[in-house]
Amino acid sequence: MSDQRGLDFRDLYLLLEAASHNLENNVETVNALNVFPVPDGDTGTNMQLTLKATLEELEQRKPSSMKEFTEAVVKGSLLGARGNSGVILSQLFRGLCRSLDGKEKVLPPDLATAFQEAVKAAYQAVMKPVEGTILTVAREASLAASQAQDLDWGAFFRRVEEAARVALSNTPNLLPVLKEAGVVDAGGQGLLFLIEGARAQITGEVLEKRAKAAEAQTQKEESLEFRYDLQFLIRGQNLKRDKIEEELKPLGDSLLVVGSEDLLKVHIHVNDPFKVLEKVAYHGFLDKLTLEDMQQQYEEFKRSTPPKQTEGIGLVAVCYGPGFEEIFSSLGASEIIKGGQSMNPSCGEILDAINSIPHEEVIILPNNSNVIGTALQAKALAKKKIGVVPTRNLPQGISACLAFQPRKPFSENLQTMEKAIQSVLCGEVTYAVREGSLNGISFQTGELIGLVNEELVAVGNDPNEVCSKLVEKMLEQLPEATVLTLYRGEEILEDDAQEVVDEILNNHPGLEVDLLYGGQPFYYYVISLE
Amino acid sequence: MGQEIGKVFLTREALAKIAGIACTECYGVVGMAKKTPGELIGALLGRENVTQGVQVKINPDGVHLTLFVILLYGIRISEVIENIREQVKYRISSMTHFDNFTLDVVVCHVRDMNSQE
Repeated sequence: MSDQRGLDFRDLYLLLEAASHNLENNVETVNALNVFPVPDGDTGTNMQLTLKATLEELEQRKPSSMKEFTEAVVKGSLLGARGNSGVILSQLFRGLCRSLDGKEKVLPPDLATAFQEAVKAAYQAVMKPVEGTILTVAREASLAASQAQDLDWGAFFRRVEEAARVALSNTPNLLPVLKEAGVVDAGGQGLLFLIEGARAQITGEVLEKRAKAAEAQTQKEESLEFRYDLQFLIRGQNLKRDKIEEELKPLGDSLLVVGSEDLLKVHIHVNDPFKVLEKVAYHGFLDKLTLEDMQQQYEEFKRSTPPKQTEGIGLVAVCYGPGFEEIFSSLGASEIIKGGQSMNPSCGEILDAINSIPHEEVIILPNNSNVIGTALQAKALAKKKIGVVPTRNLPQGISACLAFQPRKPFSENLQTMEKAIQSVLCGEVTYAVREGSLNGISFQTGELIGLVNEELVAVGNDPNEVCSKLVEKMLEQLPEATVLTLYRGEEILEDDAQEVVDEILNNHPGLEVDLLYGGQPFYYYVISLE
Repeated sequence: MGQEIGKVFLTREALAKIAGIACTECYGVVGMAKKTPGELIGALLGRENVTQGVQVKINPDGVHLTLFVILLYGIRISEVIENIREQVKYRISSMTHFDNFTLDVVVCHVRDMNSQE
């Protein structure tokens, strides 16, 4: 037992990194296994994000002792826990770290005890544990650990991994839904990848990324059959097109060999590009080789297009100004209708927007008191299921947007969004188009006016001056507010707006103030206070 | 639930039981508490009477369920709640094909298993 040495916190850090790395490489495999209880396919991602948060916490803290290391792992995994599997993982880490806490160096018996503590902590968190899940896999692995505690590190981890693998393959026998779907438990699979990663780090083995799910039958569309798109030219003499085609055929699909006797172009989808090159190398000289990772492209494509889903709820927002359009899009609005004060969209425009998105359920944010009526008209005429959240101004619209969760039920969304808009106060700085007096304040044509929820409260000649006055009035109305957001209009320069922000911050140091570009016409500033 | 050959009725008790069992199987839930969130629970409810931890209100526009749960201290509550809602919702709609309900979760208490309470 030559490598029976104690692991210090740096070694454990490396093990955790290796474990996380192996999971990351196999995230798609785990995701493809997710069938319980709803097929949302994100167990792998959830576990990986939990680990990522843990590693980030470690990176930030730069632990210099076992105590600091375990504290960082516990905190990072707790705060970063995502989804059910992430929560369980954080609980496993919690038990593990509690057990390792006081130690300087860890030997296999210590780690075996820590595994048991981890499992104990994880089981504590549930009244009625369901067997055939990540918990089962963790328990079996920890049992193997205690039986293997007298072995050296390599053998110890091999035993643990083996036990986890066996337990995982048994999960369908314990949990009927898994059997029905013909898969093993996703969380358990994730845990196995973690153990495997740690074991490989100990034994110095480099694990290759699995291109496909190897452990069980999985939904095909989640991973491509062939990973790489390979293209190249072969230069030579008397090249035999048919022969080359014959040789390459068994290696992949979408095979194309075209050209002449002295120049052939080859295109193929494969998993092992080297094998292809090996086969063709003796035919001639290779040139213009390109290799593309289609899996990566596919994943990037998936990542870049999630807002265009047809499932879930579509969100249509009415707003004006390039800044606001961007803000609403980034908050999940599927379609933007340009309009607002003095350019109200028509019922037809709203209907067009509703029909242009694929969603069957659509929520409309009118974002102007004059548009609410039109939106309700559109609701009556539309063939889809429509909800109108009566947002009277842009700040309310943004609050509603923030409360929007496209995968939640329609009625629940309407409720939470309507609730969200009640706590927002809206301030606007614009100019008077005619002289008059309101609320005992008189103003001249062209003078600047400040409105709180459409009530006149301030008059002046300089946008910044009116803006500060307005903010004071708003804070009087909503003294418990903590966040103020200032959206500057198209005519206001960023530096000028920053002056107002500084002034507000000076007078109200407790307030959080954000400055954003709204780009709206007619309104110098739009202010949101909540 | 209108069916062509007649009607199916679900009692509050049945709904509460399904929701209660699904909830107690969720990770992070160490118990259910009696219905009123104000009065703090004397003892954890056993599995047989989980229904006492579920409030079922029938409104004209649908059914409203409230689950009163006790969670373990030291886990991320937001994620646990999200999971409870998903699981309970899934369990009820898959078992009964009834989905016109809303669901609230009230965390009555968190328990720390290590400091002996």
